[in-house]
Amino acid sequence: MKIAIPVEQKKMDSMVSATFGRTEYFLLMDLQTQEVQFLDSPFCRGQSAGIQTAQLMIDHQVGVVVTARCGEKAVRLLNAGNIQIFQAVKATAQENLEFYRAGTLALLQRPDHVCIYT
Amino acid sequence: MKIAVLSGKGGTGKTFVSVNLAYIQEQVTYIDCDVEVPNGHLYLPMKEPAVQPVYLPVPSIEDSLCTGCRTCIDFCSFHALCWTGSRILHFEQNCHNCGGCSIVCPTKAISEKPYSIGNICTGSFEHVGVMSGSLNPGQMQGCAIIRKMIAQTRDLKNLVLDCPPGDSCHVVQSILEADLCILVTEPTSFGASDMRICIDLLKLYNKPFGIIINKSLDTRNQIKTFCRRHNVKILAEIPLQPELASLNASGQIAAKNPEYRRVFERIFKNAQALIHQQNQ
Ligand code: SF4
Ligand code: SF4
Repeated sequence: MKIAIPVEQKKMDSMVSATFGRTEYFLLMDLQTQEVQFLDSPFCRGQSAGIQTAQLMIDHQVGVVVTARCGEKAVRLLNAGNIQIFQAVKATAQENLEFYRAGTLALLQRPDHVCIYT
Repeated sequence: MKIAVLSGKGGTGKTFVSVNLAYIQEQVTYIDCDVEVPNGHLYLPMKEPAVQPVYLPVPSIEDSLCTGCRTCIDFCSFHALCWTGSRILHFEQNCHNCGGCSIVCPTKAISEKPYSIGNICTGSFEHVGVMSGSLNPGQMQGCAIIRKMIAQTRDLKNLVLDCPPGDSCHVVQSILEADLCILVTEPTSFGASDMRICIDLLKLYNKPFGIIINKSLDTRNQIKTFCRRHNVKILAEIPLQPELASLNASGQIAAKNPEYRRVFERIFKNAQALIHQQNQ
């Protein structure tokens, strides 16, 4: 299974992006093989970014998304694709991965979370 | 006469002008085309209005026939169709109801079902016929509601079409069949700037139009200068008056007062003269 985190830069110690659909990059990690891949997100500009980004997750066989926030429509599609959505903490992608593994991240409470970081 | 009332900037008094201009006429229907926030009914409340829902066709997907080929997704420019990994998911709010996906689906898995986007209330207030469209929150297809109201009143002679502010597609849809457009503005920079945008739109659609300067102060202002320079007809100036403002703010029809009635009768006469001029 893969985990996806929207990131500001293509590196492990990048901060998590403030958005999901408008992020420029994603960090993808295969949780079994530990293989890391950085993905350019083509949807950071233009319309329906959330829906298209959620589709990108499904097409990359992502099972878990860790994000600061997520819009209503993206949440609907991610849910329909059985992708779990966790609330990112204000830290690097690396640290968020560790929190996820330790089981200390909470599920995203509701779409379009107004508070960007908990 | 079918009169559309526009404003460019919101809050200039477009609904104020529309309801009063309707009220001074006989055998007239007021249509609220500002379907995102209709407020004409506050001035012209209808007793027991007839409510008709407005539906648009949206795709309905038979999962058992779907092979997951994604032809429909690639076709839809509005990203209203998505693949969840096991089935197609449809986002009604993104759908523009073009029907294309049901045509391109190779297995005929897509048919169409009606989806409610809002409603139209029809009734009357005293002698004025009233029609008010309302778009459900989150929906984008207000033009469909406006189009339906215009189609249903096509045979009526006297209409006042209260348009949304701005120069959006909703405004374009609302003015298409108008004989004359009245642009309500106010003597502020914002009012002048948005008025110019609307004038460009009205010229594009070749509509005869005139200006009403609402909340006017008895001084020179940029609206008057602009109109003089560009040969744009000013139909009326309605002075800034606390009494008139509070009458309007309490939801009253100002034209019930004979003094204000004369103001709107004059506007109506000037509008008729403008059309007459055009036709010569
Ligand atoms: S009807 Fe048109 S806009 Fe709606 S989902 Fe189908 S292709 Fe997309
Ligand atoms: S085009 Fe038809 S068969 Fe192909 S994915 Fe869409 S609904 Fe399924």
